[in-house]
Amino acid sequence: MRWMKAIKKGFLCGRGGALSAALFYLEAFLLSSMALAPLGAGFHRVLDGSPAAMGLAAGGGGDLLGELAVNQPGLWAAGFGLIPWVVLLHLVLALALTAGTYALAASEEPRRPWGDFWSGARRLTVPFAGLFALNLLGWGVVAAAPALALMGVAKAVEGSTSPAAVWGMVAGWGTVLLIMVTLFKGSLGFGQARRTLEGKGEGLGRNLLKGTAFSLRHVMPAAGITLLFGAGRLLAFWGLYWVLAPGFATGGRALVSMLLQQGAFLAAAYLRVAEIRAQVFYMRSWEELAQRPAAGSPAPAPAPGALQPAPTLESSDTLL
Amino acid sequence: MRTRFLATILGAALATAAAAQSPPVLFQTPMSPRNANYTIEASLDPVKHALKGEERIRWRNIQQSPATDAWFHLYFNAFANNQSVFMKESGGQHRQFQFDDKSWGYCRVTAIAQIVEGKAVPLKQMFPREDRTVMRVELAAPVPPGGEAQFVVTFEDQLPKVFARAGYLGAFHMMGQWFPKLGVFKGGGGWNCHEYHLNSEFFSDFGVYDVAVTVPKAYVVGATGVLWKEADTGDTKTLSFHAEDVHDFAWTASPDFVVAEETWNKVKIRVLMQPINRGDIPRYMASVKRSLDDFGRWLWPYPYSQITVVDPPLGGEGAGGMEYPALITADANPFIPRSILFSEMVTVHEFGHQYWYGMSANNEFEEAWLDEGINSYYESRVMDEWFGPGRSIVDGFAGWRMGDVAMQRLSYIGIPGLDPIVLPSWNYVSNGVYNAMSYAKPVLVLKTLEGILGKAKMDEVMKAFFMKVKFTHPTTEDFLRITSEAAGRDLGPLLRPMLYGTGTVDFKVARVASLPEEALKGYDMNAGPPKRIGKADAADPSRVGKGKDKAKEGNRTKEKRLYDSVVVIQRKGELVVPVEVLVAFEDGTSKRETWDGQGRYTTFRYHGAQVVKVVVDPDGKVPLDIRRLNNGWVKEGDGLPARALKARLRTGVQGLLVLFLNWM
Repeated sequence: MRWMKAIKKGFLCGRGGALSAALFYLEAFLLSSMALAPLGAGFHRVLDGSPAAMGLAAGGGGDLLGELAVNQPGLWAAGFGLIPWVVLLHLVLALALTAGTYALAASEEPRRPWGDFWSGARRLTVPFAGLFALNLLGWGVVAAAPALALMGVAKAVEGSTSPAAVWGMVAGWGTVLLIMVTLFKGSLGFGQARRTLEGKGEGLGRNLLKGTAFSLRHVMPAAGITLLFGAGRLLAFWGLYWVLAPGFATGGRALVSMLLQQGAFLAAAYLRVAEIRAQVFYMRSWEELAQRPAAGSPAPAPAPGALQPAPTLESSDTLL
Repeated sequence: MRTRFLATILGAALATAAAAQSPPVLFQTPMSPRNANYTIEASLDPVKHALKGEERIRWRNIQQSPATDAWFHLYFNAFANNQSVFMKESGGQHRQFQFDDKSWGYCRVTAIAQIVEGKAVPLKQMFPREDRTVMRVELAAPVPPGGEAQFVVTFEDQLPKVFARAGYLGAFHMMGQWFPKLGVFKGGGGWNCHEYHLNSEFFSDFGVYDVAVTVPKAYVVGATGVLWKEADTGDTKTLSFHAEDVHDFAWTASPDFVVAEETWNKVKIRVLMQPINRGDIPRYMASVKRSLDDFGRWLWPYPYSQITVVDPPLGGEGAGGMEYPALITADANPFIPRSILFSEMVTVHEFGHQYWYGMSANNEFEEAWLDEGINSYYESRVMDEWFGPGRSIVDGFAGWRMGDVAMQRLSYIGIPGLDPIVLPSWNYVSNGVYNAMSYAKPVLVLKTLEGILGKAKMDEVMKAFFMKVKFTHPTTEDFLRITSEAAGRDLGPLLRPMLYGTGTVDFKVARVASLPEEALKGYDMNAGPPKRIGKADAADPSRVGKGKDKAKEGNRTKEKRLYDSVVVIQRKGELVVPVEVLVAFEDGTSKRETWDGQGRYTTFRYHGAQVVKVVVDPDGKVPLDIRRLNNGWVKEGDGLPARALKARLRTGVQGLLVLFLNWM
């Protein structure tokens, strides 16, 4: 199936994908380190000379953090002072990295990964910011309707002790959330992919609408891509926080568990890149198909960007 | 002869039938004064969430003064309107639960009469306090010391939607503090009968309860007493319960309860579980069994024949975490991970109230610490011994662990000096301070006392206190007196400031100086006429001793340098507590000093190896200390704790950034 092939190609990310994943990972690592540098310095100032802090058992230290929060409020205020700036910087960098990754995915076999990445980032960061804002606004409005409906249902079954009612509500909220996440990510992702593949021939609103329309026409593959990679990231985070994090202590396991956690972050970054690539490959396969000449008509000149030879339409795919 | 035989048979049959209609005798010898006895018949309308009832009260005056009036609690009137003391103090919020202002509740006494010489004399209701949670009647006939009064009261309850202890949610009904209930007569001091306050709980006399409740046939009922009779009445059923030597009676009814029963140490454990939490039944069972064992061992075997654990429904958690005699409400939630041990903690805590509230029945309005605080101390004991001290509340959630005492400590150290422990509950500056002072600080006070006395002696002291005050109304002064007697020393000077004052414990390593010993300079005044020490004397072999032999000092520098060290420990807080100090030296040796805590500081001096580490309270025997991080000094820290904590926090921030990235 076409979307499975796209996912497979997404995973086989090559040099360009590896570069993107490394940048994604490094950006978050460096920014988080930067954000907490003042807090770290404060920790050293307060804890290094205190035997009370020594010998942290695995998973321990929550009480120390609590005591620091109570007795050293200034430390926290100063320690987290950089966070707002880091978040702002992250917003810009994340958009730029996402734009570069889409551009790199579109070039498929980049000869100059760095060059393609940065030229894509320069070209697409601002449009991507616009697409993100429009998408957030649009789906925010759309999500209000099912949310209100569910709130009504929740009111109606309030007081029910039936597990079916309780889990039904949980499942209801979960389903709505899942659908909204899938639609949000699908429309944004394919809107971005379209912008990357098509260039700036159309306005952002139209761009997003067409991306949304594409994700709705191909709702199963689009959802499949989103959910698969979402599940992968959830797995990475579950392992990160529940399996690896308890190892943190001042003992010998600290370094090992820290390294493993960074490995989990790297895996999450790789999954994000693979997701972007899968979206780009999947959309391109359909656009190429759409551009195939109808029987008997002259073939159009190939578009700039040297689209790849069109894949064969498989029986399971329906061009809508 | 035949007639006499038939009469005998008939008599025996009638006696058996009569016995079957009488409640059982649970305790051959009363354990309590039993001076407030209630016989109640109540019928629940589960559709209107309303109840109609009639109670007969037999009250005996056990004070030395006559009673000319009687005061009753009508607790449900706390939910009658927004002018009640409870609603004004709470703003409609209790714990984290919000009142639904479409669902008010009340308790209305439709008639009250005193039985005088076999006749019912109606009494006039008066409401002397700020709201209608307290009702007063002037007695038709005064009750002399040792005398008895009987009342007949008919009443109606409208239940509020549950948000604070009692009420309904759907078909779930939690009936706590639901009937007109006498206050406690204090003789010349009149009746102790306070309004229902936001922070306060309850106070009443012991007695025997015979309660018959009529509910729809499909409803499962759990109650304070022992079920001894069940009668079908069409679509409804009437269940008769009997309880002895208790000071309250609570019950619950719902058609949805899943019932689980086990017997442990001859005590029937009955768990009434919400279907959705069915999987948590073993957690409740294990918590009760563990508590039965531990409290039985530390204090006294649980005397009642059963304990019922009620699991409130989702949305009705306001009824959870509450204690009544032989019935407790717990708090399971399918959305709380099992690595957070709240279910166990709440169950252990509420079970502990069977001792500290149930049997040791202090005035919860005025000295809440005597039940909440002492019981929280035992909760931490049970939890720590069960799960381990460092993980008895959070055991691996997102990689974090935390113990019960650490949790209590955190809730105290942020607000240590605002109010004392012993204070009427409505006088606390806030609900948070009430919680910190009534629950958390007493835990730390008692853990500190345990550190001073040792665990074995502490157990002995606390057991002595419990055994002396069970089935009475102990006060803080009783606690100080009895524990001092049991400890064999006056604990007042130590405990009184902790209980009645707002002072804190805060030890600090104020100064550590470890300087290489110096050779003698100037004149040597110890050997005949003063002699100037100069370079020429440095090699004089007769000058052996402290700081007098430079040559020897030179050798020592190469081999093992000696230091003069000073360690100053400061007591920054007002409270005087003895404390141990560990001083470690570079050569691997250490010394353990004891300071009685008197004075504002103490100094320890050493000559020998350099001091490399000083720790005040190395074994954590004084958890009352509000700042542990100033309790020590190290010559060279390895920076690992700071790095480890920063790394863990960075993981969180990095995770958030990555999560955000995935949405762009």
